[in-house]
Amino acid sequence: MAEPPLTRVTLLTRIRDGRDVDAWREFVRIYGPVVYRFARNRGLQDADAADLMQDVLRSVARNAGRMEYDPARGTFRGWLYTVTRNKIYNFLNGQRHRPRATGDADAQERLDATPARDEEGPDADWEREYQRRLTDRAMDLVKDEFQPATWQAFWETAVDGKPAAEVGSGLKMTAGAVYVAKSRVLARLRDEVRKMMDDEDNP
Amino acid sequence: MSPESCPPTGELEQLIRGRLSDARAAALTDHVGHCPACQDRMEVLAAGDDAQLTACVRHCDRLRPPAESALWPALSAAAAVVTATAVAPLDTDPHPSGELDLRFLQPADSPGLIGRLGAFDIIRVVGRGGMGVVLHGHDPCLERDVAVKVLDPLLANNEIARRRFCREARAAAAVTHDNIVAVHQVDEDATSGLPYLVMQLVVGESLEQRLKRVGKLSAAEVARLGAQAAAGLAAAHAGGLIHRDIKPGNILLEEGTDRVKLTDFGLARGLEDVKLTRTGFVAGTPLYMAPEQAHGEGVDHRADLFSLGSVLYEAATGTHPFDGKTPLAVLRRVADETQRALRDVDPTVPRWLSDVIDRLLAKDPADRFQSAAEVADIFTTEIARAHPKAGHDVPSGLCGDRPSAYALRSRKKICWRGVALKAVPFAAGVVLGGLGGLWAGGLWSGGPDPSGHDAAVGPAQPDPGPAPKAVTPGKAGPVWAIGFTPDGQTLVSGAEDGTIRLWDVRDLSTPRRTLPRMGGNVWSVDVSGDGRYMVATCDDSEVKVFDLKTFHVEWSFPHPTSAKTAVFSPTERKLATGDRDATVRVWDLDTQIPTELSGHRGTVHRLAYSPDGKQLASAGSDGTVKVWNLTDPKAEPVSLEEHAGSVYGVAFSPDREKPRLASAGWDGTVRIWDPLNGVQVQTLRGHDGDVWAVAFGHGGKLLASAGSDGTVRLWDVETGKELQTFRGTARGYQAVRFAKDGTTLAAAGRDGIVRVWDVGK
Repeated sequence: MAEPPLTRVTLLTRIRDGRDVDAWREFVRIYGPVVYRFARNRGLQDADAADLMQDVLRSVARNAGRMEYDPARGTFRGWLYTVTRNKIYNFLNGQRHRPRATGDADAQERLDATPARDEEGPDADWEREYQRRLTDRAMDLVKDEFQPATWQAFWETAVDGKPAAEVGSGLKMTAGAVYVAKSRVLARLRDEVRKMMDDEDNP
Repeated sequence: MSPESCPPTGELEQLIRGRLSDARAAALTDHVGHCPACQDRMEVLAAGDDAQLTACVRHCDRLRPPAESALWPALSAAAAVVTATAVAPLDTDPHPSGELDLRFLQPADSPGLIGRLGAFDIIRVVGRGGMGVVLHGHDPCLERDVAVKVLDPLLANNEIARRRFCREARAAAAVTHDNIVAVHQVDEDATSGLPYLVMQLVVGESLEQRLKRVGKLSAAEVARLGAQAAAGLAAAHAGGLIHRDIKPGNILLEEGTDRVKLTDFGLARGLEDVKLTRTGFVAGTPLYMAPEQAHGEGVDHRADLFSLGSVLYEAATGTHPFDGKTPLAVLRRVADETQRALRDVDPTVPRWLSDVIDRLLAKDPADRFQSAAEVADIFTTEIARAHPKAGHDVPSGLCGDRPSAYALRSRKKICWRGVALKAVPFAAGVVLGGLGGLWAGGLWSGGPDPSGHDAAVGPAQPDPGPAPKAVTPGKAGPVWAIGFTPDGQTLVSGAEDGTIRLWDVRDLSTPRRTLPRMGGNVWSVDVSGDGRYMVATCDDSEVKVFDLKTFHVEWSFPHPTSAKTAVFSPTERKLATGDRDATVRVWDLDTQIPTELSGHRGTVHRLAYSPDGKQLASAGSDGTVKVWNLTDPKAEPVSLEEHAGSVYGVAFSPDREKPRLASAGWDGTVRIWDPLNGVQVQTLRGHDGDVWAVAFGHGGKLLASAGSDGTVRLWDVETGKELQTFRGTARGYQAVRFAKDGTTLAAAGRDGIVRVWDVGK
């Protein structure tokens, strides 16, 4: 059945509006942890990864006005990946290592503003962190739509990995009801994640 | 249910979505509890078949950084920094704050001036807004007052502002039109390094100021505003420019004349750069933004038409169609909500006007008018119709609340046709007009037919008629103007993109020559009787005469408004032009002094000379054809007043023995007259829609007419019988001509293809 043709004002559109504080907050909420986790995976310590995350997002905000972002050449996520990768590279090569010819912070900002042109796009690790973050965020968003027992049944089976029968006896549910609960939440999460990705891919 | 009989997938899906009856759900749930296969099936249905979602869910807990991680305070800090960095200073317009510092001006030479900038004396500060300071200046060399817009000194180091300012300068300097503020010069001040542009000084007020002062405009004023603003936009679009920020503050009204002048092309970008509009922030004023802009999608010239619709709506009602408390609320309304019908807000607004505005405000650009030129034309025509001669008034009861010609789904002029229907039955279900592609499916699917027939013509389409012997490619957009050289070997065509092409009639596959772009849609071309010159009219206010040997502009004749038609006298070195302001002028090529013939109201669409050069016929949007006696300039013209609505086409028969004049127009009729006594001798009915042009062939025995119904019809002048129907495009013909031989027939229209037929017996 066809969905009603709702028009969404997507997150990235709202960000480009330039006046929408909530949109920028949501942007930080989603992408901050992705950048942080990615940096941790590349070997940065907790405090360094947190600093770098701030640095990346600040750079994005400052460059947003001249953000030569063209979806045809890569996604916004791909662009963010490039900025993150460059910052990590610089970090690992010494905090003060800057391009010699220019030396000024502004030149670096411009470098950062270049979208990802890598043929292969963002690497798998980045994509995985992004997926995880979206799933995480989706769980925050949909949790309140379910009965506590339903959510609990989902959590104990899908996250904690317990057998359905065991979960059911604790919650006074049949095994079948536990499976149904788990599937219901999963299906809802899948819809939500897909929606967030659509927002991103079709800003 | 037994464990063996597993439910179908559809039912499992419904179980997940909670759409089964309680009893059925309980039975299935029970089954799933015992059936490992259905447990797996259901999980795949819920999570999708790649394991990504389940894997992400499974790991979510472990991967969440601990509460003591530096991530959490860093996120709060980042949110604060990011919102402070991105939201405040990168507003749509980087509005400078702080006192205006005029130290960038050089000291003044004489009292009464506040300083100098470049070569200009600066008299006073006119205003400050957006990114620039506007100064009232005086150019001592040319002895004229000018407006000098200089980048606000506070933004001298702001790269975005500087770039945007220069973009405006370049964009505006590229277009000249009566309804666009002219940019004389773009420069950078040597001393201060500030870029500035020197513009025509418009004395008057902005529409924004006007609306603040008077609340709203009358319907007639709105139509005038719409006509002129659309004409300016048409010129900009023809120059490859989208304004992108049409709003009342950017529409100036000249004092005295109230002439509309569009200004502030700061956000305008070349059509080629459209992809760049997807960068950065939503630019433009949300109140007048098109939905596709609000979505941050790529925009084309039709976004300007939407903005114009918003402006006209506000001008007509005094209220804005999409007002909201915050910019985002406005954006959402623009994107998702249909405006309150204009006639609900103000029932006194004429139906046609509210239909035009509603159609401009269609969410989908494909549902709007497709070009600003078309919009300008509709307004001009309607303005003329609002003051018709007696007898052409529509009985008000008939027009009442029927949809007009401009309603979204109906391009039919129901109001008039409501009457016509009794006489001329319509082919049911056939939709005509510029919407294109309305015949779905098709005999010739799979690309344009080499014979030039539209691929979209469906099986229900009648006989396409004789195939053309040659066709041109149709890449330059709708063609309104065609002509032949007297030797019949060269075909001239003028297209909506402002190009004029010359073709070898024997080989129409590629143009022999393409002239530099004119300022907008080419409305007419005509070649002089000796084949030396060609005259062309377009959307700017100059009528240009080209030398056909050198292709240089030999003369150009300035007009107060753009001219729609120009023809050479067959006997003298003279040229007649007709403009949008009801004036017919006969120019002496050598002195370039015009004789003005006035009597029409509204646009003069077409002119034709009698073969002896003594009479000139003019077709007007006031519904009349006037025949002027050129041997006696004081004589009143003979006025032929049988057409209902605009007359678009007029032609004289080449037969000197039996003088005949043909005219055609909006009422769908072709009429043949005796030009000497003004008596109508034939009414030719058959076209189902506007008839745009007529031409005589075969020494005056045949008449061809081109209609928006996608036909060119050939008539026997003597009997009034229809001899033949040429089709080929469903999108309508706008121009038709015979070569001097009287057998080579050319026609062109909205699909941009010129088709040439041989009608020799």
